Amino acid sequence: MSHISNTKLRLDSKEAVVRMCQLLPELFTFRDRKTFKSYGHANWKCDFAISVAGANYEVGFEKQSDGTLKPLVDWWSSGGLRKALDGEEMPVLMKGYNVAKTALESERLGYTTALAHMPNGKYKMLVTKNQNKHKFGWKTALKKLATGRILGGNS
Amino acid sequence: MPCGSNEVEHFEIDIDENGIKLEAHGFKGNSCVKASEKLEAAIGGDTKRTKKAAFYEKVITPLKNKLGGR
Repeated sequence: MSHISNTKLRLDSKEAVVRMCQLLPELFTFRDRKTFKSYGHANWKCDFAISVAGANYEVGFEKQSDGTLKPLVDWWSSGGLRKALDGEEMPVLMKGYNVAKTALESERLGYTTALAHMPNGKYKMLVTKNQNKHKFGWKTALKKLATGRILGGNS
Repeated sequence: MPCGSNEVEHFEIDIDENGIKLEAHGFKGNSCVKASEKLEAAIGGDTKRTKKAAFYEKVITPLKNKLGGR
C-alpha cells in the first residue's frame, strides 16, 4: 500500500518557533521577551520575538484568540526583513517553522529524525523508529539526504 | 520505493513554505496508512491524501484446489 499526503501547517506553536531557532541557528535567534526591534529602535509589544540573520529589525509574534500566532513585522527597508525573509509572504520563516514543527512532533512520537537542506531550496527530513533494529536500512535511507547539506536531527 | 518494500520503515518528508509532503516507505500492509495518519495528526494542519497506484493493487493469493474432488 502506498500514499502521499500534503499538509499545510498552521503557525500556532511557540515551542516550534523555539525549535526552529535551535535547528536553524544560522538563520534565527529566539528572543524570549515582550518587545521586538523595529523602526527607530522602537520596542513594539509582542508575546515573544526572533532575530533574523541579515536584518536589523526583529519579528514579533502575537497570540491570537483562535490560537494562531500573528507575525508582527516592520517592512521598512532599512530593517532588512523584506530581504532576509525573501518578501512579505516570508517563505524563509514559514519553511523554517514547518521544518521545526515536523521535527518536534515526530520526536514527540518517538521517531528519530535526520534533516538536510536540499539543492532545490526545500528541506528533506527522514523519520524512523527503527534505526537501531535495522541500522543498515536506516543508513541506506540516509543516502537520500546525501545531495543536500546535512543539518542533523536527533539521530 | 513505496510502502511494502524491503526498506527500513521510514517517512520521507519534503518541506517548503507551503507545508509538508509526506511519503511512507517500507511499511507492511495497513501499518503504512495508520502510521502516516498518526504523524499527520500530530503535526496538525490541513491534510490532503493521494493514494498511489500501489495502494489499489490487489493481492492475488493462489488457490490450492484439488483435482478430481466434488
